[in-house]
Amino acid sequence: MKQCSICNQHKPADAYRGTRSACRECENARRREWYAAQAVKPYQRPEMNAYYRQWYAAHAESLKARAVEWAKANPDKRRDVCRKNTARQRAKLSDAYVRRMLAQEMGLRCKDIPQPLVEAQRELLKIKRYIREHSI
Amino acid sequence: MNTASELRAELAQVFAKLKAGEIKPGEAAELANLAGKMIASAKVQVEYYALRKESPEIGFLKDDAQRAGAALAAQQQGGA
Repeated sequence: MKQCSICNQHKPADAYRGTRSACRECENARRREWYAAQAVKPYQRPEMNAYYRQWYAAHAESLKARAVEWAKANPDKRRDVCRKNTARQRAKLSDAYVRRMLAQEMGLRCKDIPQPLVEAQRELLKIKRYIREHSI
Repeated sequence: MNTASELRAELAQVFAKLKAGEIKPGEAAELANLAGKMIASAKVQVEYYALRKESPEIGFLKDDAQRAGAALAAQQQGGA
């Protein structure tokens, strides 16, 4: 038995990480407090961006393969996810939604649609929606 | 109104006025119809160049930043 330096309780050796003086529970609680107090979370730091990009580049293939596998194994869930995403994009009139809409109309690929056209179309859609929703 | 960015700004103003009740829905619909024609003509232009596999700069669809850059470059060339 060993006494924790934070809660002062006597606990068995396996309740501690190695030779540390605080028990796992106290350490975990302290870490949670520290993490909650961070205004900018460690994963949000700009220097982490480069790391995440690098990590994604290294694992992109396996991640994509897993996503494809999951989609095949869970067609219903996948359909729900797609529906939710599309509904959210439609409600927000996101770039992706407006771009896709224009691309379908014009028979082009999304990447061929210039951004200023997307933005002008979005404002136009906002007005049309408002008129439709508020007309008697 | 010479660019899509200006058109967007104009449409944003119309939308704000419409929400505030400063203009009637009928008037806003007319303006939206006109804007739709302008956007449609830009779409035709984009489609045409895409079909021809060309990518020239379309003045109407140039970004403000691009236009400012081009204007600055022209100014610098003129000054040199």
